[in-house]
Amino acid sequence: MKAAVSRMIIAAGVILLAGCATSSSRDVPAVIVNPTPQSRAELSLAVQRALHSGPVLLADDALTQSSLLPIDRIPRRDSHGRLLNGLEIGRKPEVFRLVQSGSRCVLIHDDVDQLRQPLTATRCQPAPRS
Amino acid sequence: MLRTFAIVICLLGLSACGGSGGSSLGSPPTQNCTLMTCPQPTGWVQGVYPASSSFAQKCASPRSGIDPVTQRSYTDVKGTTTDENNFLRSWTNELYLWYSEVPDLNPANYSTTASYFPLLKTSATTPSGAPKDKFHFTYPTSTWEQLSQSGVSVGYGAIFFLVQASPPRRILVGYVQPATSSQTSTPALAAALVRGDAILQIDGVDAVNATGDANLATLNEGLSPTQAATHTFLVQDPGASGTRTVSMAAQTINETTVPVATKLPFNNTQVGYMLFNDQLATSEKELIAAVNSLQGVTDLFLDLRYNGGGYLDIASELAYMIAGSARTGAGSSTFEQTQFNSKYPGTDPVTGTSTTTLFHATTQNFSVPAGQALPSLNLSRVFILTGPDTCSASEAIMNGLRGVNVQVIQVGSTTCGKPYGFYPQDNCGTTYFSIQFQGVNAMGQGGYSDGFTPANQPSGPGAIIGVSLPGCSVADDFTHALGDPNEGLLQVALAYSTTPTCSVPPSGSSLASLKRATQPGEAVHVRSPLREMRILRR
Repeated sequence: MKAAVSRMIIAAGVILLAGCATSSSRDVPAVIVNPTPQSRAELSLAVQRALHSGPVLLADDALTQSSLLPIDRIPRRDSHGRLLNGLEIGRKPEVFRLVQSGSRCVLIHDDVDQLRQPLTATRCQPAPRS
Repeated sequence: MLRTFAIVICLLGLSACGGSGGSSLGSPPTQNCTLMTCPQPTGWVQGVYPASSSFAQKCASPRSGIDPVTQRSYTDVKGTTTDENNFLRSWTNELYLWYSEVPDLNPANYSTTASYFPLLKTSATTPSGAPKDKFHFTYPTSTWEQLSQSGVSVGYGAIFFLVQASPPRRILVGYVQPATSSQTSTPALAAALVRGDAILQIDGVDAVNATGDANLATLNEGLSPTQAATHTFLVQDPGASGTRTVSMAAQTINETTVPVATKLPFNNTQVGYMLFNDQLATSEKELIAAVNSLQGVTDLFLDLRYNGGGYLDIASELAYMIAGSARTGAGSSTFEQTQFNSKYPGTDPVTGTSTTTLFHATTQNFSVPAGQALPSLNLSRVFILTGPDTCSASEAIMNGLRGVNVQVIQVGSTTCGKPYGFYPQDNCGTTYFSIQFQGVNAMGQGGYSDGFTPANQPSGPGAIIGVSLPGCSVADDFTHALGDPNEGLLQVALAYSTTPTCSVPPSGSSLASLKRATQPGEAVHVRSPLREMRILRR
C-alpha cells in the first residue's frame, strides 16, 4: 500500500512538472485588450496576492501596451521635488509578465517562485513585437 | 527584492565581539557584538555598540494588527524610546558612511527618536562650507512602503516650480507631460498649461502675496492636493498681458520619463536632444526607443535639469548607450564603484553582493526582458544640461562617463551634489535615511558633494562651486519649450559645440525675469500632487 502511494505521488509529481513545462513552452507574451472594471480589479488583486501587499496604484491601461508590469515603491520627493532615494542600488522593481498560455491569460510574477495566476476575467492577445 | 535590509543582520552577525573600528577623531574604540557573543544591553557604555538587531522592533508604541502594506502581522514588541534610540545608535555605527565622525551620545538622555536621530551624523562641512551630510531624514514607513505601477502617479501632469517660495511668490509651470497614445489627455493638457505659465491665484487666494495659515493651506492644497477635489487656478501665459482661469482635478498619470528625443539640424549635421526626467523602471524601454530614434547624431544634448535620479542601473544603461561598446569595454568597464564605510571594503553589507556596477550593455529586466543588446550612439563627448535638481543617479551618469574618458560638457547650473545613497531602514513605523555609501567612477573620481559646476560659474557670495566641468553657467529659461533650440541652455550648448566659449544666453526680452535662479535652494518644484511635502513658506 505504502509503495503504491509513493508511486502515485511520484507519478503525480511528474505529471505536474510536465504540465508546468508544457504551459511554459506555450507561453506567449501578451497584452490585455479591452480592459474592463472587472479585469482591472482582477489584475489588482493578483498583484496584491503575489506581493502580499495592500492596494497598488495601477494605471487603467496597465498591461495594454506592454507585457511587462514593473511595480515599485511610489517615488517620494523632498520639498525640492528631488527623490528621497535618488540613488537606488541593490534592488529592482517587482516585475510581472502577462502571457497567453493556450487560450488563457496568465500573470507571472517574475521572481524566484514564478507564481502563475490565471486571469479569467481578462482578455488578452499576443503582444506586438517591439 | 524590496526587503533586503534584514540581510545586514546576518552579515553583522559574522563579526565577533571585540572587533574594533577605532576612530579618526580620537574617541574610544568601538565594539561590535552579536546576540550570541555579547551580554544583553543594560545601559549605555561609551564606545560599545551592541548589534542593532538586539534593539530592532522594540518599540515605545508597538504596531499591532495587520500591516496594510504587507498584509502580515506586525512583529513589533513592547520596548522603550531608549530601545529605539539604541537601535539607531548601533545601526548608525554599523552602516553610516562616516560613522567615526558621529558623537556617541547616551540614548537614554533623549526622550524622542526625533530629537536623537538628527544628531547621529557628521557635523563636518564641504569645501563650500555646506554640511557634508545634507541628506539625513525620516519618513513614515506606512507611506514609504506604498506601491504603484512604475511611472504611475496621481497628479495634474505638470510640474510647478516655486521660483520664489515666499512673498512675492513666483510659481511657474516647469513642464507639462506630453500626450501619448495611451494617455491622450491630462488635467494640465486639458487646461492648456504650458511651460512658463505663471500661477497667480489658487482657489481664489492670491498665490503671489497671500500670507496667513489659512491662505497657505489653500495654496498648498491646490498645488499638492491631499483630497480628491477640483481646484481653480488663475494663470498668465508666457508673453500674455491677460490672465485666464482653469480648473483641474488630480488623476492617475502615466509619467513619460523621456518626453522629448529629437534630432535637430545643426551646422549641416544632425545633433540629438533628449529630455530625461526620471530614472524609473519604465525608463529602460523609453531610453532604448529614444536612442534608436537618435541614431546617426554627431552630438547629444542630454537634458537632466529636472532629473532627480532613481535606479543606478538605469543610469548605467544610458551611459552605455551614449558611450558605446568600445569605450566601455563592451560593458566590462566600471560605471560606478560603491564605497561603504571602512568596515566593508569590498562587499555591500546589506545585500552581500559586489559593490561594482558595470556599464550595462544589455537590458536588465526593468521594463524590457533581460539580456537584450542596448543600442548606442558611440559618442566621445556629451553635453549635459543641468540645474540644482540634477541629482543622485543623474549626477552618476555624468561621473560615470567621465570615468571612461567621455568628455562631459556641462551647461546650466550647479547640480545638487549627492554622490551618496542609503538603504532606508524601518524601525517601529519610522523609516530612517542615513547615508551609507558613496559612488566613484572607474578613475576613482567622486566626492562631488558640492555638485558639478560649469567652469565659468563666477564665484561670489552664496555661489556654490562644485567639481568644475567644461561648459557654461546659464540660468534656466522658462520662456521657451524644452528642446527648442532657442531655449537658453540648449542654445548656449549648441554654440559651445562649435566654438568652446560661452556665448551670452538669450535675454528673453521682456520675459527675462522668468529665467530661473541658478543657485540651489532658490526654487522648489512640485510634480506629484497628493504626494508632496508642504512647500509654501510664510
